[in-house]
Amino acid sequence: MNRLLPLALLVATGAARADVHRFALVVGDSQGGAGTRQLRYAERDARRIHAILTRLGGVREDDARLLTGADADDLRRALLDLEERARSARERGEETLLLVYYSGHAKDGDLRLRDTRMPLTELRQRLQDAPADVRIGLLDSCQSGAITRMKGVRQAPAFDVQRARDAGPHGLVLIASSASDEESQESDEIAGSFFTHYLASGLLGDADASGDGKVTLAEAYAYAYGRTVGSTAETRAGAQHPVYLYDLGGAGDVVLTELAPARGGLLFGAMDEGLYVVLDGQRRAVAEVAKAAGSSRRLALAPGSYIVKKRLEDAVLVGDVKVGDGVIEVADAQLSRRKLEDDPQKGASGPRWSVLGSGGYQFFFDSAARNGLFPPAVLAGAEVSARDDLGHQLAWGIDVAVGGGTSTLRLSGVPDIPVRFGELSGGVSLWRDFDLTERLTASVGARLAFLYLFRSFSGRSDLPSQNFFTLTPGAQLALGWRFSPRWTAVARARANYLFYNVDKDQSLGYAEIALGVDYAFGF
Amino acid sequence: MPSGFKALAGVLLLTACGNLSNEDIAFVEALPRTGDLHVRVPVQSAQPACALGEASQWAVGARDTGDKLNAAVDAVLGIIDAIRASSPTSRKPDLRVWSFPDQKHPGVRIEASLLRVATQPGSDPAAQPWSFAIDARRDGGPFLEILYAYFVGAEARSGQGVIAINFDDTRALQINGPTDPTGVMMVHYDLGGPARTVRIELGATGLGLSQFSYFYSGNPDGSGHFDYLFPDAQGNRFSLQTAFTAAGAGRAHMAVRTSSGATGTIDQCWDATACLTYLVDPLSITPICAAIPAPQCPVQGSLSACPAVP
Repeated sequence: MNRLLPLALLVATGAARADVHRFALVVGDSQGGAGTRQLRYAERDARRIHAILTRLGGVREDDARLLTGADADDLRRALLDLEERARSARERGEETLLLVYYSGHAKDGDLRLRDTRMPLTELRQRLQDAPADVRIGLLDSCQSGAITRMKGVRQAPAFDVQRARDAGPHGLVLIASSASDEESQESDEIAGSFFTHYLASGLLGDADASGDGKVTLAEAYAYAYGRTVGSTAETRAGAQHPVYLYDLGGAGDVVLTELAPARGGLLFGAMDEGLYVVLDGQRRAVAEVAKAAGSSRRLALAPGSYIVKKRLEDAVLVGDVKVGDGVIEVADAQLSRRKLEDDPQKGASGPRWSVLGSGGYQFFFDSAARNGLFPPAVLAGAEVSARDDLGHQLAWGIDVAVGGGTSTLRLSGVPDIPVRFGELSGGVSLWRDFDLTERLTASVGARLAFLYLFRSFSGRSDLPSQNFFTLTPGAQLALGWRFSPRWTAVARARANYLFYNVDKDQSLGYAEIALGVDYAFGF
Repeated sequence: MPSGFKALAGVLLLTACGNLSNEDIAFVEALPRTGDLHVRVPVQSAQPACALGEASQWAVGARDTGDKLNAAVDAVLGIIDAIRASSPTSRKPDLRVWSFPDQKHPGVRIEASLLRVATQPGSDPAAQPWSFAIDARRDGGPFLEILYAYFVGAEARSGQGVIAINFDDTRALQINGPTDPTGVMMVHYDLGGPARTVRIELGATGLGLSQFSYFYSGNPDGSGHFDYLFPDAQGNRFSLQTAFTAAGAGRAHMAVRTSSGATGTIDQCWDATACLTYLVDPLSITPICAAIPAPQCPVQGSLSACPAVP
């Protein structure tokens, strides 16, 4: 705990951010190359921080860079670009701040971006030399604390340094999510790394210990430190201790976010106390509020639909909120009491059930089959699926569909015979989801289905009805766009293999294209 | 082919089942339906009041004979309809086989096979020949051929063919009807021309019909010809050549062999209500002439009352 800043000192810090020209480079990379395992939430963490900085942190979109899936050279180029912009601003007489956030792998003194590396010393030196009044490095990666132990930077005791009275803050601050010998941990339950999750929660308002509507660097760090250590104390990897290095002079602290400019948000009233978790539509934690009775706390959330939950000893309180332009007050009395097993956040670490209704079109690739035995069909179907059940981002589902149509059987020398056909199909699918953005998800998977076809010949009662049953393996690709916490629009394509063996042995392929709406349970 | 793919194909082969087949439909479309071979004589029931005092018993007889022929065809060829309505039990590229127990005759198993006779590639589908046979056996005994047919054409409704029914074998298998004749009944049909023609050669009296070569030709408008043998209650046999309009009016020329052995011819016409409109009966066989000694019965009615027939 000696690394935790004295809170009283921190909250006494006063500062403003409006007149500082801010630049931010936010990097998230889940791939660390050889010898590392893929991170689950690094890119999501980066997107969260980028969104907060551009919405609440005074960083204009033009002055922000978000890199995901980038390599070390991409990082260098983006940093150089922002340095140039900061230099220009500085030459115009503006006060400037450059913030670099990194979520990803770090090992053996290097940031690991896919198969490329960037030494921590290089990053630290770039920040040290960057043409900005304040340079902030936020590293959320394993052993990232090593950056604070390098030579050439003064290791200050805390933020209780002597402040100059004649100028704003200037200097370098480095904050790392874990000590040089510690792992930075991710959590499926919060769908992110502990450190970034609490940093984000703090920046959204929960770290505003002073209650002045501004979250300073010191407040954010103190909050993230305390919550990270507390939450990781019982994990298998053990407690994770964020560390910092401070070399800041001048007057005032650095304000990272201001809650006032945000139009909307949630206000947790003074009467209630406890730990509240705000979830997005995918039931992933967006922010937390840990408050005591007697003071209110505001979270400056972006407009959208959220779920607020508060876990009690024997139950969980849950409520849906829609954040718009105004501030929505949240009170325990407005939340619904549910059983503990109905905790909406439980889905992040257990199966998340949903049902998909869809309508689609099926057609065979082979024109002879399409114009004969297997004419195009219209299908309506339903699918029950469980996400994150077999593993992170892994999902399985069971589906059934019915369909049919009319066609014409054309035989050489025989008048056309009208055909009425039907189809029943169902299958088991296994797929992996890829979050492209907060709302857009792609999935790729495999499916084993059964297909039962039947047809009769209109006006020809003398001809027997026919049917065919087989198993068909296939692959599927889908895109989902979540437009509300429970509802997701889905576009899905499947390609299947079918072995036909009545008239002759024949390998056939067919596709299904479907549009549907998915409803998520568990709220 | 990778072994994994082979294994998958094997599993799919085991699970794939059904009768979804265009070829099956192509095969059964070559089989004639009983209705295709029906004799259609448009003779109305006789009216109670006829100008010449009586109805043409031969006109009514034509219709009755046609009905008996139709019933005979239905009885024999009905099994083909049953085969068409079921899926083959065995398939080869140019052969379909149906094998099933005869529900009407326990212990009898029926096996039907339809062979698509090979032709030159690109041949006219209307000239596609087919060979069809129905065999049966009782209690595991030898198969006997009860029907053999040869069809030409992709579709029986516009094709030609000949069907031979062996009543001796149906009798041996004890699946014959009580009025079945002996010998072979041949059915020749040609449904592809402007007129449907059906010739039924009955080798022996049976099925309520006399041994005869019946011939029917029907035009698309309903008119046609019908040649048949008609015995009356007095033991006279009339071999008739009839022609009729779509409305049922007609004319007939008949060769007569009386029960006493006399022979001769009779000509008559009838209207759409089956009433006689013209009669030349030198044998005084018809009721209207029965009281007049042969050959003194005068011509009844007018030749101008006879309809124009094909």
